[in-house]
Amino acid sequence: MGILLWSFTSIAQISKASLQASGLTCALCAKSIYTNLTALDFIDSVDTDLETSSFLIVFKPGIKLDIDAIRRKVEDAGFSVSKLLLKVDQGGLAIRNDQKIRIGDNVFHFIGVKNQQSPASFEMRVIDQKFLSAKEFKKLTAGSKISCYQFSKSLPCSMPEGDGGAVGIFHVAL
Amino acid sequence: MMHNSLRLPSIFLFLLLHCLQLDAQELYVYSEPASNVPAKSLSFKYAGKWMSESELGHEHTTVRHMAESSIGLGKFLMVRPAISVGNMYNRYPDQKLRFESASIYAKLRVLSIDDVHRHFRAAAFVKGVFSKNDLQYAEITADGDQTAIQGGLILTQLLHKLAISGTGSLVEVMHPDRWKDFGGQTFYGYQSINYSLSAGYLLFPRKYTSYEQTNFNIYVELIGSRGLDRDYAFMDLAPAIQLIVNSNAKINAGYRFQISGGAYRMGTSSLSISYERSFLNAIKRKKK
Repeated sequence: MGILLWSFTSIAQISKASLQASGLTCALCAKSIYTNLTALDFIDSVDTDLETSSFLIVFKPGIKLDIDAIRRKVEDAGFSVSKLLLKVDQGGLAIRNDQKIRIGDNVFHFIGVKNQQSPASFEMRVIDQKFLSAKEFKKLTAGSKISCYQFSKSLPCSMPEGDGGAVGIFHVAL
Repeated sequence: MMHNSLRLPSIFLFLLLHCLQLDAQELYVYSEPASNVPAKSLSFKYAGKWMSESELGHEHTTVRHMAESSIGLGKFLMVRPAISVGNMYNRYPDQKLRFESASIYAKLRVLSIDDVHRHFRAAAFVKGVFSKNDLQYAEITADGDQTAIQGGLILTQLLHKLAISGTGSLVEVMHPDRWKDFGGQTFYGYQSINYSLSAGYLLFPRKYTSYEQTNFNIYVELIGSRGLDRDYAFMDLAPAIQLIVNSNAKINAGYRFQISGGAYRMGTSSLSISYERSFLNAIKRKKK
């Protein structure tokens, strides 16, 4: 079963990401994040907006996307992720609130969304604790009853049946 | 001394209010911020310190050259071995440079509250210094003047581009004389509280466009020391400037001078110039 699913992962449905880092202002600091990110094998290119400490990341097609590795690289540089938007190029996904769907190599748990069919291309925001500033995490989780989100592990809180081959599970909002 | 020191908080308040809207950095020239160098990064620094010393009625300039390397062991921990050579402790007219000290510094970031363009961070540090110097002055440092150990705490607040940082530490001189019986009180003290309050801000560029832009930072630091087992206390003011070139090299220049109190010191003013080059992701490991 796992092997069967593995073959699906080569279809890259997440092509780009926009990341904002927090805790820094200097170009020297941004450079350390940039250097760390470009060292990841699934990242094709990184464009920096120094004024906003933002990084536009383009992923290589066909290589497993490890979202936690991106976060770790920012933290290794000495900073934090305050925003991560993933661009999904896959229309017709049935998005339901509090439901998990596999997109590419990862499983995403949609929180606080209206039930809908996804457009051909859309952005979703990772809202696990380590992908938000402390302030925003508090604000977003104030009304949430989902415990694994509260404790924020981007590790499986509960992986859906048959998704053993996924890299990780992340909570996302639109 | 008292009314003189009252002036200082107002200088910092002025600086704080004046710079809140502007840009600043925390890569201080005389002190350390609570942030560490990036994990797996390596940097090398040369620092020179020049001081005018009056000895046996002769005014002459003495120097200390220091080489250090900062190593990011992890995202929370860095270490920094350093050595120095100099002629500061020579007997006049001998001006030959000699090996003076070796030290190791370790800093652990213990708290980080990050937000976009700001952070509040705390770090704890320890330093061990082996020095060949004899005890000659009352002033206690962890810069190689005496064999000593130091432990302390750093708090740093980054507000957009202004950075304010405070450091407090205890220094214990570990020179063998400390445990010798000289038949009564000796001239030298062996314990001090050393502290600093630092502010810095980025003057240029006004707007960031690339990693290649040269950054220009200015700093003002207040550096003080107070003897615990012998009575001395002084405060120095140290304005400094810094250029950051290519996002990987720093050139620093600062002038430090006493503004209040006093102690039996080698000198009350000194000039420092340093150059530091960073190498990101320099330490490769097979497993992440």
